[in-house]
Amino acid sequence: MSINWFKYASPASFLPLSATLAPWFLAVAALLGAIGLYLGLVVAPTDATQGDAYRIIFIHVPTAWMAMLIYVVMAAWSALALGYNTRLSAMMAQALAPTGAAMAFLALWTGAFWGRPTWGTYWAWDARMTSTLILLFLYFGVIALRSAIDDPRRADRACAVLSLVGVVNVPIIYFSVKWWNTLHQGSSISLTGAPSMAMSMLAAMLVMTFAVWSYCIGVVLWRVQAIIVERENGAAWLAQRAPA
Amino acid sequence: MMEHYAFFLVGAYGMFALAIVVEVVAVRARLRRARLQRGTPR
Repeated sequence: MSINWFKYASPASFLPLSATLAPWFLAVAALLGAIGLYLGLVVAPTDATQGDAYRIIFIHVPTAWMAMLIYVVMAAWSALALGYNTRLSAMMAQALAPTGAAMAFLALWTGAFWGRPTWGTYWAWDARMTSTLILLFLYFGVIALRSAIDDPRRADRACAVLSLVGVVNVPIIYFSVKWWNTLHQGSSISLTGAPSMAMSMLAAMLVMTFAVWSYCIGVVLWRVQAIIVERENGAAWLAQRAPA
Repeated sequence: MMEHYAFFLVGAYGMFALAIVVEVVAVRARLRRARLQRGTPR
């Protein structure tokens, strides 16, 4: 059986699909979030050196990963929008930006609240923190650029170019702890090496990562419905649909 | 031990929860507004 993916490149087909999928992703996020918070705040042991302050890791790392991942996904949709001129791709990129900005903000905020008890400061102009701050400003830039241009198709193209240019920042964030020897610690887990943390801590972090991931997918699929209805307002296919 | 770091844990987890609540409320309101304006001229 083959799936005709191009069918879902049309807002008319994607609107009902996203309406069906979004609540499932949000429900999975709530369930995994509850399990992850229980594992992280109750089951995982207190850290030998950082005490309980380290428990911020269970939201800091997932939000930081999502901030980077969402930017890459936004740039990929932008590339599709530029290459194929598909409306839905630009709408998906538009829907991703606010959630990405929220994740980048949360990564910086939770990092500050972790930094104060462990490093003695809320903020330092460290390579990883500064590049993550630039990521937040890139998200703000994409959102502001879109609202500054009245014609949605022109806004799509301008935002797509900005997203594609800005994606160079993501590997800089990722490798910043290796390239520059500054305050932020290196990765505690990697795909190739053994994790440098207890298994219960790792389990809680991974569960929270899937929870935040599922939340991001759910909320973006939810927001894209609003964007589709806003931008396709007046289109025949939308007028023919039964009122939601 | 947890009490010692309560301010930082509440500050981090509190903002995490607040951000999610604000985003969910905003998206819900936007979708509702978009549906209400459906069919009206832009």
